[in-house]
Amino acid sequence: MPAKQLAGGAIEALLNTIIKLDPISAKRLQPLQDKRLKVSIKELPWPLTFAFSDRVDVLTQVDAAQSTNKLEPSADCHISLQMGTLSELKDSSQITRLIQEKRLDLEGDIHVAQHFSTLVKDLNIDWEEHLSRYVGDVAAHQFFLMAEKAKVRLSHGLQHISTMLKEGAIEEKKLIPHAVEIEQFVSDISSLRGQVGRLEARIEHLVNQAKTQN
Amino acid sequence: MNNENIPENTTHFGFKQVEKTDKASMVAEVFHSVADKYDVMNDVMSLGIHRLWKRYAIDCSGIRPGQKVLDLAGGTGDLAAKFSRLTGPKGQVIVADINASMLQVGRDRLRDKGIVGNVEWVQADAEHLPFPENHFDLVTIAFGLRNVTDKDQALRSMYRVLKPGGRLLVLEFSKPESETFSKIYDWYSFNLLPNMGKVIANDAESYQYLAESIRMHPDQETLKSMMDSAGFEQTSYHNLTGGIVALHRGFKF
Repeated sequence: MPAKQLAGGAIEALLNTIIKLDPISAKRLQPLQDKRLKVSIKELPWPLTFAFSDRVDVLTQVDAAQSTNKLEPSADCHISLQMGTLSELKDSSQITRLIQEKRLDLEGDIHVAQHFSTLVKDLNIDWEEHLSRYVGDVAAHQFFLMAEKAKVRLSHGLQHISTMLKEGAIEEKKLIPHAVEIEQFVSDISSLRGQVGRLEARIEHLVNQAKTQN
Repeated sequence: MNNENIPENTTHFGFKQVEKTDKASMVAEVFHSVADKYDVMNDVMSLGIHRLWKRYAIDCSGIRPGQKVLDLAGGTGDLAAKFSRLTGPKGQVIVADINASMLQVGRDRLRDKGIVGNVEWVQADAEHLPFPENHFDLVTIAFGLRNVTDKDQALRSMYRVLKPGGRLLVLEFSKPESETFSKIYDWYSFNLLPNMGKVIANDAESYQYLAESIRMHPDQETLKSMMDSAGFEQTSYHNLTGGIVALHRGFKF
C-alpha cells in the first residue's frame, strides 16, 4: 500500500476539515491562492508540499530523485525544521528569529510561510455551533456549559492540590524554605555584601594612608 | 498478452475475440451499465486503495498552476477534481471519455463540488484525440487504456497532443509481481468480483469483463516498450500494491 499517499491523504483530510470549520479561513486562504509550500520535517522521511486553492491539497514526494529533477516543479517556499520548532511557527513574527537561531531553513518567498502560519494561528472554531448541528442547540449548550464548569473545577482542584503540597513541604516537612525566609536570606546577603564592600573600602583607604605616611 | 494467431480485424473483449469495430460499442455498453455505481464499486473492490493509487499518480504529475491537463477516460472526474485545483484558474483541465454516461456522472459530481471554472468535458476517442499538436503539459489515463481497441494508436495520439517537455501517466491494472499473490488475486477476480458486482451493481457480467480485461492487458514491460515505440522518452513504471496496478510514466522532448 502506498504509505506516503496514505499519510498525505490523512493530513489533507484533517487539515481541510479543520479549515472548513472556521468560515473566515476561506478569506485567509486567498493570499495563498496557487502557492505551494514545501515542508521538510527532519524527523519525517519525506517532505510534504501544501498546494493552496480554495482548500489545501497535500502532495508527497514520490522519490528522492524528484527533489533534484529539473522536470519537477519547485515550491514557492521551502522550509526545513525539526518537529519541536513546528509549534513556534504559529507566531509568524518568530520566523525571522528562528532563522537567525538556525532552527529554521527557509528558501523562497517568506510571505507564503507567514500566511500559512497566520491561517493556522487565527483559526477560530465555534465548536458549540458545530456540535449543535448534530445534537441540537440545547444539548450542545449544556455540554459546553458543563465542560466549562468542569474546566473551572479542575483548575481550582489543581490549584488546591498545589497549595497543599507547597504548605506540606514548607510548614510540615521543612523540605524547602518559606518565601519570607528566602526574602530575609536575600536581604541578609545583600546587607552583608554592603558591609563587606564598606570594609574593603576602609581597608584600602587605611593601606593607602599607611603608604603615604611611610 | 499474446497477439500471435489473432486475425488482424479482431481484438479481445475480455477473453472473447470480437471484431475491432465492435469493441468500442461493447465497452461502452459495460460502462453505461456500471456508470451509476462506478465509484461505490471501485471503493468496495479495492477497499478504497484506488484512491491511494490515484494520489500516487497525482504526486508523479509535477503539475503547476496555469498548465493544461488532459485526463483521458476520466469519466467520474476523480483526477480532474484535484487537477482543477492544482492548475488553478489560469490552468485548464479537459476530461475526455468515449462514454457519455461516465462523462455525465463526472460532470454532475464535480459541479456538485463547485468545480466548474477550469474543467471542460469532451466526448472523445483516445485513438483519435480532437486536440491540436503540442497542446497539453500532462496527459493522464487512469484505468482506461485496457479498454481501448488500438492501444498503440492511442499512445501515438497522446504523444501528438503533448507539448515538448510534457508527460504521460498511465495508471492501469497490471501483473502482480509474486506468483502466490497472483493466484490469490485471480481467485478474487474470477470468483468474488463478479458476485460483488451482482450484489452491488446488479451486473455480474460487467465485472467478469473487468477481470478478464485486466488479464488481457499488456504487462508492465510490454506497456513500457509500447510507450517507447510511440515516441515517449525516459519511460519508467512503478508497481503499486504488489503489481496489481502500475503507473507508467513517459516524457515527450
